[in-house]
Amino acid sequence: MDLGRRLAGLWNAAAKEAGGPDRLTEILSRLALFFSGGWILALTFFDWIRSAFFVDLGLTVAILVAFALGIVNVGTAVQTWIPARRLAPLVPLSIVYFTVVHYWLFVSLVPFYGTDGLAFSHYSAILLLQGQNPYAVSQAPALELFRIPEFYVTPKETGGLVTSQTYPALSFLIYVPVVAAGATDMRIVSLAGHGLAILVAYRVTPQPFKAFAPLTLAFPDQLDFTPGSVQDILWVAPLLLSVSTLHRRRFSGCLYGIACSIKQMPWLLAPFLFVDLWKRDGTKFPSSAGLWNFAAFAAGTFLLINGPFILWDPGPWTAGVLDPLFGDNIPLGPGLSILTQGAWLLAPKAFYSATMVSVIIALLALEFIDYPNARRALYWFPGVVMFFAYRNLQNYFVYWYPFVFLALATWLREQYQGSGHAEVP
Amino acid sequence: MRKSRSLVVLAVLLVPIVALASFSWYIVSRPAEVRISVRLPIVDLDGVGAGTELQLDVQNLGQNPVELSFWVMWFAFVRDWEILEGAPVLDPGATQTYRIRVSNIQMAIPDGSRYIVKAFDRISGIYFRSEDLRLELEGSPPLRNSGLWYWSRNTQTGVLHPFAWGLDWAAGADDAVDIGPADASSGARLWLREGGGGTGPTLAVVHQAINASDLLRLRDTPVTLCWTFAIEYRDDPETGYPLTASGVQLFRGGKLAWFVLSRSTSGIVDLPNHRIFVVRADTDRGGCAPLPLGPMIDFIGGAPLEDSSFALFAVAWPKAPGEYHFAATTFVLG
Repeated sequence: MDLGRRLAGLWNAAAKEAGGPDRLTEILSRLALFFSGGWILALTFFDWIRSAFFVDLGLTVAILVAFALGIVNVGTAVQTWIPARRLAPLVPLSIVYFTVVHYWLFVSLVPFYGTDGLAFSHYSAILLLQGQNPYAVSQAPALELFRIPEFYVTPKETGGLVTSQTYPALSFLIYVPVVAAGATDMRIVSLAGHGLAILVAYRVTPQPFKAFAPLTLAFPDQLDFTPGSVQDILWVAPLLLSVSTLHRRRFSGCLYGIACSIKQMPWLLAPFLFVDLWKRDGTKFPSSAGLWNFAAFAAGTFLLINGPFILWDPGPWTAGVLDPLFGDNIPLGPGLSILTQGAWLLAPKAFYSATMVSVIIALLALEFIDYPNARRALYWFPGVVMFFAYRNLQNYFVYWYPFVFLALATWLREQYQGSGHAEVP
Repeated sequence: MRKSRSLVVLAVLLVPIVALASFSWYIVSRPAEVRISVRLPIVDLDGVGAGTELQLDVQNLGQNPVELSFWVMWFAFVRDWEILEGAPVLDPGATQTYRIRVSNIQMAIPDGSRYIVKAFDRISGIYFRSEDLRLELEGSPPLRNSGLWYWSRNTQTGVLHPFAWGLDWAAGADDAVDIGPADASSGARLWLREGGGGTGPTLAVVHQAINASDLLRLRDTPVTLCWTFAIEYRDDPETGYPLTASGVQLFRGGKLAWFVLSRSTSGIVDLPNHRIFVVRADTDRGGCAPLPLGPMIDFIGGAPLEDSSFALFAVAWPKAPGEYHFAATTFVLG
């Protein structure tokens, strides 16, 4: 008996022991309320310590309400008047609220961008409003304009810094209306994206684990990244919607195209998603209309957004968006390349590239050969691949959590519903 | 059937593992091709209390030429250092001495930190490392970066400040403060607007913590303050407390000593826990004046191990509304 079957057996036994799926939802909702409450209390405590709440009445009230929500969530886990599953929406709402409070405090303490990426995207929006091509103009002035500290730039191994736009076009197009409206801090867009992603994660994750889904976007690093100017949270909501609507291939493809137009990270999912759709459709060759509808609408949406810049000047656009893959940026992050960062391992970048490619091929083969089991791990494959990359920044990993959790929740739901009943993400 | 599928899965996963392991073994078992030694001692050439320049002896032990850039790593984020002396290309078997300098002052090695020097060979794409070292800087002056050079942004606050110095300020709702370099890259310019409201002063401070042993050294070091214009010291005739002032402040253990400039008077003013050393000078023009550091340090006293704060300051109280400028160009040590 393989591990998957054993887990399924355990799960069914647990559901039966608990008194059925509804009863299990009730139990897990209570657990989610308890853990979210404790989590919010802990994080609010740390924010209270580092805040100057005593000079800001608004912040004082905000912290007070966050702490009260933590108290309420823990309390609702053990109250018996109202079924916990009815109170479960408190989890996403309180997590969204705390995300806003944490953002507010962080931004007041760090009133500048913490990444060159957001500085470049903001500057690109300004350039575009002035009629200039952001891919063809140096982004170097953005570093001074947005007061980016020296630690947070991207050095190149060949000398100098990255001073070009290296993300797909929606990474800055999304800021154009915000800049045009007169806003000066684009981190607010990430905050909106973070709130939306939490609500979407809650919406698309099936019972009985639904109430836990918001917690997958409330780890301390994720909470700091939004006001800390990491933009990846922006692709989470469209990609979550995409993978949860794979039964509507055109719609899902459009959403995938949107996610891929924000940053390159969702691109990594493409080969695995391709095999997944092929296998779902059950054709001998990848020839189903659904598969190609998805691919066509994803590519079409991507080209709709990026096409104008490709036509404007294809060279700089191509060099820009491929820079994270083929540029000569220094190794960084706590993945395998930490061995090269300390120069313990005399390995060139080509070693990491070759390893990454072989891991992608192996995972694809694994998915192809043992699809029924491997498909559950599909959304963590990008994380596994990035572990072997030359750069393994934390944001390459943490935004896959809601997807992995969605796959886990869907898998376990299928176990007691019977295979094929639930929508597989 | 299931067993054979498991074997296939295992085989598939083994392919990258074996490839990774064999390649790793190959590159680990290779002898290091570039040997890097850091020459000691390291002297604080810039007087900033951090390692800004290193001398390296580099030997190419490999069979091929290397083209080197140098990276000094004392924390996770790293930048390349500028090569001041030494050709980047090093032939096989050759040894060369390099002098390298930090490309941005924020990346200078803090005294006492552990660090390594990495050489990146642009030809092979490989990093080589020196042995790991701890920076024991020699020749640091008691007052770091006395010329107020190297203005750069604080990584935590984003505020522009001279390296090794911090900024502080206090301003009410109708007041304003601005602190920046006196000229393009050095000195400090402190600007205040005291609106006349409230009770507290409008204050701008550029400060540096000085440990007890450095304070003792500072006591024996002649220090001269040079300025281009300053704020006239004025006091309240009724209370004797200051209304406006600029100059140098020493603070330790709740006691404050000021060195201030006045066109009309000189002498010592004693207030509770506060002594003001007033020196006659033209505040509308540039000038220099030696600091009475001995008497100032004697006044603040304090516990032997307690840090003190050495600062440039400008201040105005609500009873003296207006705009004020203080521009100090440098402290001259010795």
